[in-house]
Amino acid sequence: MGKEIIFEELGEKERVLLLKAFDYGVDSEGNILNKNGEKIKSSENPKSFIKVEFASLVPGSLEVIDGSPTALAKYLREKVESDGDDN
Amino acid sequence: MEMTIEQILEYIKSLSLKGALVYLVSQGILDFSKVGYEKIKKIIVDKQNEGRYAFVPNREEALFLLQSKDNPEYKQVELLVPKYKYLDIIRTGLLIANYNKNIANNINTDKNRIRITQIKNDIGRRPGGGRLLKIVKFPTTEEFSTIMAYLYNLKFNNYPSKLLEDEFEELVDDWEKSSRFVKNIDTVEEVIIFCKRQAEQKNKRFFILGLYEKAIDTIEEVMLELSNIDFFKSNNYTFKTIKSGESADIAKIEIIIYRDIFD
Repeated sequence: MGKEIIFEELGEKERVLLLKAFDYGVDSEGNILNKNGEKIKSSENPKSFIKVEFASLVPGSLEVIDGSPTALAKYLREKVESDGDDN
Repeated sequence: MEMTIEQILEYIKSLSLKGALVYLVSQGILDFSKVGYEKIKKIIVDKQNEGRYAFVPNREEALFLLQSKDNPEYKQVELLVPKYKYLDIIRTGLLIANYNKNIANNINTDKNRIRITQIKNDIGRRPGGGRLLKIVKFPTTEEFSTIMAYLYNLKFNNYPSKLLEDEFEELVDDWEKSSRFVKNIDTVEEVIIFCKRQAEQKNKRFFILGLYEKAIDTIEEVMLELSNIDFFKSNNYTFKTIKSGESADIAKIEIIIYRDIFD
C-alpha cells in the first residue's frame, strides 16, 4: 500500500501481466511500451529504454519508471522538490 | 480439467494482488486478449487500486483519486511526510471530504451518504481496518489544517523528516485526544480544564480551534486567562495563533500549543 513498489516482489511474467492490466505492452526484447505502442525512455539514461526487468510502477500515477536504485532516488527527489516548489 | 473464467474469477477474488498474478501466470494466463478475460483484468486493476486506496473505487472515483495528487491539502501532506506509507489513503479521505461537501451543499445527499457508508464498510473489513479508517477520517476534520500548520512549523524550523513522520503518525492516532473543537455552547472554564488536562498528561502539543465569533471570543478569553495564571510558562509551552476568514460567518481561529519536542 502507499509508496510500496510492488514490482520488486514480482517475477517477470507477473510484472508483464500487471503492466498489461494497465494497458502497457512489452516487446520481444523486454522493452515496456506505452499505450501507443512506443518504447518508454529511461529518465536516468535517455539513450536507453525502460525494460520490464528494471521497471517500477509508481503507485498513485500508474507511471512506469526506471526501477534502478539511482533512478528511483532521482525520481522521488525530483518529485518532492517539484511539489515543494508548487507550494 | 481446465477452469472456467467464472471459477478463475471466484478463486482470485480472495487472493492478494501478488497471489492473483502468480496464480494467473501458473494457469498460463499471460495477457488479457482472450474473450472474457477483461473481467480478470478488471479484478487485477481493482486489486491494485484497492491496495492503494483501501477500497475499490468506481470509474469516477478512480479519476478523482488520481487527480487528487494535485489537491493542495494532499500536496501539503506529501511535502511534509513524503515517505508516509499511507499517503494514498489520505486521498481516500479527501474523496470522502468531497462527498461530505456535496452533502453540505445538498447535492445528491442520500447517494453521497450511502457511498460514504459503503467505502467505510469496505475499509473497516480490511486487515487493520480500524486504523485505516482513522487515517481516512483525518483529512475530513476541521483539525486537519491545524495539525498540518503545526507540522509545517516543525519543518520550517528544520526538524528532521523522520521526526515529522513520527509526529504525523502519532497525530493520526490521537488527534481526537489532543484537540478541542470549541463550540458556541462551550464555556471558558471547560476549555481551560481541557488545557490543564493536556498539561497534566504531559502532552507535548495540543490544539484548540473554533469557528465563528462566539467560539473565537471564548478561545481568546481562555488564552488570556491561561496567560494570566502563567500556564504556558510554567508548563514550558509556546503557542501559535492562526486567524483566518475576514467576515464573522467564515472566521476561524486555530491555536497550536506546543513544547520543543526534543525536550
